[in-house]
Amino acid sequence: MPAASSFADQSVTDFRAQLRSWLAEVVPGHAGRASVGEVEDIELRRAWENEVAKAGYNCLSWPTEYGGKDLGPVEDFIFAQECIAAGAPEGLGRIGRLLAGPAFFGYGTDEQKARFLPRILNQDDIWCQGFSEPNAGSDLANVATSARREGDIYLVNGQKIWTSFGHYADWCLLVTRTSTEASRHHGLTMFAMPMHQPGVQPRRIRQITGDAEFSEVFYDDAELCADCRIGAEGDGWRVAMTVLTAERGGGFAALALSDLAILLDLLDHCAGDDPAARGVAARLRDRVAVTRWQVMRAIERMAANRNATPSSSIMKLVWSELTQDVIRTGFELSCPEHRDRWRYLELDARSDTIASGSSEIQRNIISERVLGLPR
Amino acid sequence: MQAQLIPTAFCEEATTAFADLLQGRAPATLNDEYFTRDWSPLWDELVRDDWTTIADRAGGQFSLLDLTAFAQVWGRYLVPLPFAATLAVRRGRQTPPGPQARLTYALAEPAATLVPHGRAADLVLTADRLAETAALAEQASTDNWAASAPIAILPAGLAPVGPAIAAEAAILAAAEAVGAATEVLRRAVEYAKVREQFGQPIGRFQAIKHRLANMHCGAELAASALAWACSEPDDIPRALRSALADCLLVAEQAIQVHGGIGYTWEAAPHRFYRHIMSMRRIVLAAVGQA
Repeated sequence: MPAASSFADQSVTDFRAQLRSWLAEVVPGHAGRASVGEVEDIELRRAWENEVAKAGYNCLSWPTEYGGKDLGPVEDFIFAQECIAAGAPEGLGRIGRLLAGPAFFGYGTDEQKARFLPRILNQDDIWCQGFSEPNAGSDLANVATSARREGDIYLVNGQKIWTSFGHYADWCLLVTRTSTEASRHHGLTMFAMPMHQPGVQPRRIRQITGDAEFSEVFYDDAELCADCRIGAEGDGWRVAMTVLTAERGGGFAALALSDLAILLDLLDHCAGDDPAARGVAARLRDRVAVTRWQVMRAIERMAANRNATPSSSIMKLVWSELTQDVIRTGFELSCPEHRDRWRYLELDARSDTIASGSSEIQRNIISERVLGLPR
Repeated sequence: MQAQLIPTAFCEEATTAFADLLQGRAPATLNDEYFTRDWSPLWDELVRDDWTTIADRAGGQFSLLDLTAFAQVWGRYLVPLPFAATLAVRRGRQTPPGPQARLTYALAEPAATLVPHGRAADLVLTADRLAETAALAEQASTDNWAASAPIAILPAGLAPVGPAIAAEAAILAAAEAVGAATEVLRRAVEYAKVREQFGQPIGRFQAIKHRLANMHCGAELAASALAWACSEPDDIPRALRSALADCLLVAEQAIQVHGGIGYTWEAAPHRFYRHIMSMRRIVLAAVGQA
């Protein structure tokens, strides 16, 4: 089945129908994560990913030669959308699937592909992402974590931050500095870093919500075999840029849109019979509707490979800021019944315009790469 | 059946050719003369190359969404001819008149009847028939707010078109506004690249860059609202209001990016701003009856 170029394709209708009936069959056995503790939650998510892998729904957009289905952004979006609608747990495999896989397709050796890709595909390994550092946030090229070659191995020293899955990951897609001589972008190198070793210490970061969804990871003479290097020394920036677009792709947008639909209903509830509040809620409902159309158009353009990067930047910018507008309105309106929920969301939503490239960075991308304004 | 979200590849090719034609015929400077000159040669050329009949049912090769792509291209050039209105009318007629006819339609506002490009049209579609526009000359005043889109205003009299045609006319008028917004954004970007202050192009400052990025998102959302309107007829009023609001935002910001010169009659941005305002009047009247 070739990848669909449009939501209107018959193959998409078939794909959705098959997916729905599969989800209806398997999701009930995996639900209930809200009421369990963290350890159980991770087990639930792992079990869910195994179910997905077993049914052949993992890594849909990977080339068939690596075990994928060669499908595209349209199917990825629909998969995320339907899983959310069915109440399926959120998996643990997204970094391996979206970032590590494409890094190996583009830059890995045949040995690396054979070693790592099947384990991502079968959900045997969980991956995390080691890009950001305390002094390399928006300015990613400022990475300082060093990898120093010692014979057959590299020794890694430094600190990474905002690492989702940092506590459970088996491997980390790690950007390091291997040369201080080369200019900033050219001194970087990408590695597959084994996480289970004494030199790697993850520590949880407590967020403004009180939750701890991600970690910082300290590397203290952590060891890497040279055959874990992805691409040549100095290729790290190119590898990172190749895989980063995927992070802003359709999966997150599908999640954001489904969250927005729930928030709008809650907003209507809180607005009650107040005409002014209802008017504001109705306008936001229109903004969400038009954003949904924008997202679907962007996904189709990505599928047709017209303008992938700019589309994903616009999409991310629009949904993240709209989510904050909706939540702010809900917070201001909040009825006594939902006050705590809106207060929590108000804090929680701050990350939407910071994570995966801040709104400021997205605007730089749009103005420089789409509109061609000077740097 | 899922909705069509973006124009077909065939349509994209055709709109590119259409844009090339207009680019070659429209003078670069949007001065007063631009709007008062004789545009008949361009209309004749549109007729000769079969552009006026692209919406005809007989041909049937373009969807409504495809036609919005043509109307967007048209909206970039602010040519004071009823091209988009002609498409809307021809699409709504089982047997449209000859391809050379300049067509428009009548819409009701609470206290008046609107006929877009009334004086430049040959025939006006009303509730039940295509009428000669000759009578308009005596009775009508003109809303000349946008020289690119003069609207003939009648106290009453002409019965407005039915809801189905009004809805499609509104979508194509909104598409013209999206085209105008796209073009004024493009001009603001070009200006930001060449206008220098503090020894560098203002487009290097993030205050300007980010404003332009916001405008780009606005234009993108406005275009997305057209797809929404084409796919979900019940939502047309909501979708088009949303599109027009975003177009206005883009035009306002374009004037800001141009700075003082943007506030002058001589500079182009207000032409697009005015065109969008006039399209808004047409769209609101049309969806009021849709």
